[in-house]
Amino acid sequence: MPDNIKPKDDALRQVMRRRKERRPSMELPKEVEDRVMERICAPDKVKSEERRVKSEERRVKNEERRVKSEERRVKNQNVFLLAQLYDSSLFTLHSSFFTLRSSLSILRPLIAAAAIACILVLAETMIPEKQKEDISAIVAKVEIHQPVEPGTNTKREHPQTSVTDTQIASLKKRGLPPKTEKADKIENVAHDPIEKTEVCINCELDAMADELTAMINEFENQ
Amino acid sequence: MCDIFPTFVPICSERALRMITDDKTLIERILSGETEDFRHLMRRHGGTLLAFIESVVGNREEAEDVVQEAFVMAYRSLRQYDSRKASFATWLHRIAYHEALHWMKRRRLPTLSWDEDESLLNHAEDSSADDWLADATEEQLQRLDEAVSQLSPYDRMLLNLYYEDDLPLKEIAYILDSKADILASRLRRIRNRLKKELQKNR
Repeated sequence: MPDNIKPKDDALRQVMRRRKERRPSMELPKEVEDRVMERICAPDKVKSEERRVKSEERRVKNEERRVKSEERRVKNQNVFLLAQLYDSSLFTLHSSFFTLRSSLSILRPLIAAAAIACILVLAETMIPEKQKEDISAIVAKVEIHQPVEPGTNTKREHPQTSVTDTQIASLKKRGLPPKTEKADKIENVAHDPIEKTEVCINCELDAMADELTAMINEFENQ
Repeated sequence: MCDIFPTFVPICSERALRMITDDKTLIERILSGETEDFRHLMRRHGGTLLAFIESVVGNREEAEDVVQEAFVMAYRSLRQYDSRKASFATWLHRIAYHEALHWMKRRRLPTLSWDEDESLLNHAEDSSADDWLADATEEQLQRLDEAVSQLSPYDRMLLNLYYEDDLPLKEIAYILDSKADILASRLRRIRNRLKKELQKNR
């Protein structure tokens, strides 16, 4: 098909050649050349500069990233250590708690026993020796006291008289006046066991009160 | 030598330009880093390219801008140039033509697709113009010249490439991104139109 255009050297070709000859010779202006060269060469310089800046930026970024990763690593390590510490402390706390609880279960009766012992010791130390004896004696007398059968020997069956005597004797020994009135009263009511018991108790209480008063006085004097 | 004595640079450049006559050698030098050698290529092909682009865009200043863009584009794509496909001049024309089309699209100017016109060209097959143009008088040649001036820029461009630059249709098809058959039909149509114009004036 392209061959159908031939012959080329016809009138049209002549006209076109003439046109070309008529046309002033075309040359690329120097300014265009320079602009092209400027655009060609400038990117190289710009690129090299950009490349340098970019590489520098990349280096700085890498450094920052490295520092950050290091910080993160240290932080993670700290957190890990903290967690470990927390775990271990928690474990220790748990074990201590259980130990304490088990110890407490063992200690509780011991503590209770110790507390009781302390109370007893305190009580022992607080009460004077003599009074203790008296109280025990009184308690013994009260406990021993039995209803007396009529017609029995009161002197033998009612030891309160002898108790009162010993009490008086002890009072005498301590330099206190003997309770003669009370002793008389006891003697008077010796024939009635119940009344005698009441009297005895009252006498004892009075005696104790007197004795206490005497002790207080003695203490004050001292 | 040129590095030691900078005053000898122009002499060296001229000498080098005289020595390097081949486009391929120049291209190799440019690719190896001798960017300044691209100036020689521009001087060698700039004029032809400017004329070609001026025939497309119809304006000298605009043509210079398009050629400038074309040369920059050519430099950037220099590694893609394959000398087996086409000569460097043809490759440059192709780049410049596409730059011109791009320029026209940006300015919303109507562009021609050679392929779209194929159906119309097939109807215009008439070889009678060949006989008529074969022998023409001087008066006919003058009227023909006037008729050529009235052709569209695209048709003038095709005539320039085919008759003035004497490029084969295959290369023109490569430049214009078309097919040789289509361009041949287009040329026949132009010739018939010119014949009709001349007959009218007669």
